[in-house]
Amino acid sequence: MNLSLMLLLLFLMTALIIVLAVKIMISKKDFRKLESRGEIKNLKLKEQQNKINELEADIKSKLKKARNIHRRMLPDKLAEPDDYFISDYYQPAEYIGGDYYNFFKIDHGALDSFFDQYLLYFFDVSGHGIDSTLLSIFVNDSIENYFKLRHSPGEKISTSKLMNYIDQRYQNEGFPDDYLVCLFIAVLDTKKSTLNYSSGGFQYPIYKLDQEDRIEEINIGGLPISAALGALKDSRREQTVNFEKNNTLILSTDGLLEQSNGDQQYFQQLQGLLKKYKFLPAPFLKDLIRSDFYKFTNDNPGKDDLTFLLMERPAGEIINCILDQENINLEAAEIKEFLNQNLWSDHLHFQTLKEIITNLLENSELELKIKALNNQQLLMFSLEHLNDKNGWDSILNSYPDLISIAEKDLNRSQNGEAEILFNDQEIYFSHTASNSRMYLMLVKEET
Amino acid sequence: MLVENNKAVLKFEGEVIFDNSNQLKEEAKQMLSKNEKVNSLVIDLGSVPYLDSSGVGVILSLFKFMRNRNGALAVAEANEKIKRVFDVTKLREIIPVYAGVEEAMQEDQV
Repeated sequence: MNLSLMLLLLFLMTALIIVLAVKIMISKKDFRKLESRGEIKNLKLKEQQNKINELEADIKSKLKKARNIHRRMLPDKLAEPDDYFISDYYQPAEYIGGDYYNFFKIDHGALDSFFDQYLLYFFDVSGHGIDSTLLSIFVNDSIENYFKLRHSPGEKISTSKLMNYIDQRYQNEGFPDDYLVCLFIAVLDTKKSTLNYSSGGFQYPIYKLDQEDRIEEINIGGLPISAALGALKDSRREQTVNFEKNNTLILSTDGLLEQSNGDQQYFQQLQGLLKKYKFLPAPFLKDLIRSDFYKFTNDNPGKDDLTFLLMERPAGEIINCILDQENINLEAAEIKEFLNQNLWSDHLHFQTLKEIITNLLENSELELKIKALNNQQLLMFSLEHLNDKNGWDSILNSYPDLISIAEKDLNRSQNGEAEILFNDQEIYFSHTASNSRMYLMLVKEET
Repeated sequence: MLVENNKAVLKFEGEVIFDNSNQLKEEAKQMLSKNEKVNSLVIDLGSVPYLDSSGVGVILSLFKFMRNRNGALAVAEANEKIKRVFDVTKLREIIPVYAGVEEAMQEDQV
């Protein structure tokens, strides 16, 4: 090979190396460019993700606040007429509550002694997010306004008119078309033993257990309150239910009854439970429904609020005593006499129950409302603090053997029915959500 | 949404509940807004196993939307559970419920 050819080859190789080196340098530059572009994109993605997380946290925090507002709006304690037991259960959905209920004595002013009437209402609003809490506030405010502005003491209360008033106000507020209010309003007149009611929107009935041991389904449907429908003046007529002794009403929004376990909805199971345990007083029946429901759903409360109320006018002897500084001795004597009637003296745990009540009566600082029910199957005491917000934990601490149905794990029969045997070996207790009222119960033999 | 002359069929798929009701309502209204001549709407509920009160809210909202354009709304193919909701809440008195979409389309008021 001659020199000139070698030089040419060397030149070409050098040129090739230079070209390759330049190419590599350009590629590296491009790669760096791409790399930095990718980094920027990643950064932007991270920023956007952070913003989404912040927004999500903000929405959750606002919904939590709305839920707390909603919870605070619910009554701490429901009124309870002398011959009745009223029990309630409320479990809000994860973030927002659309259910509300109340039961209070209607004020007839100077004419109060002629009346003993109570307003019962519950509603379920369907809206999105915080709006449903605002809608609840609106309905409550409308009811309050009606009694302030439209109702005079001594005047008959028409639930139909009250419904129309709320509907009319609702139409004026410009709520979105897809929101609706399912509402049940009733007036319990204890002197007439009637419950007059109007309702709209509910898909499921309420149930009445009567003295003949029947379960009656009472339809509380009808058109809901909705801006899409406009004001419906004559569509929600007033109906009447007689409320005799040994009657119980079970009232619920849809959340409880429509909940499914995959095979069936809870309303299909509830009737069997009511038939089997109708002898239970309202506070204990409430606990049993609660336990049965969670067993049915495998501890899944569902996405909706759970609200149900029980209103019972029991059969049997009832005494009502309010023990305050003025009449503690007189009222305490009445309760002691009741306890000394020896009707239950053979019961295994009567002495323990007597001891609990007697100790309370001896604590002169407490102001108490005590209600006792005695019938063929059971003896129950309702204890309510009037001047103390500490609840009833002291009794539970002193008597750890007391049994709560709410905490019992229910067994099921082959038919799927709850199986719980009540017997004279136990003292059963229940209490309200705020723990201001406690109930103690003895049952006779095996029930 | 299937449109034929001034009539339309809107098919809902799956449960209509709180979680999806708002989106469904907005999408339906958008489709109807693009088809201004539609004055009869049939909602086909054949593939809807269940609707809660938010679902009822969607139907009521579309009912008002159609009424505002002097139109009409009906539902068809609803299962027994949904028919029961329409009966108990008396919505049937306001919104006709038909067994099938064909039948609903043949009615004059829809």
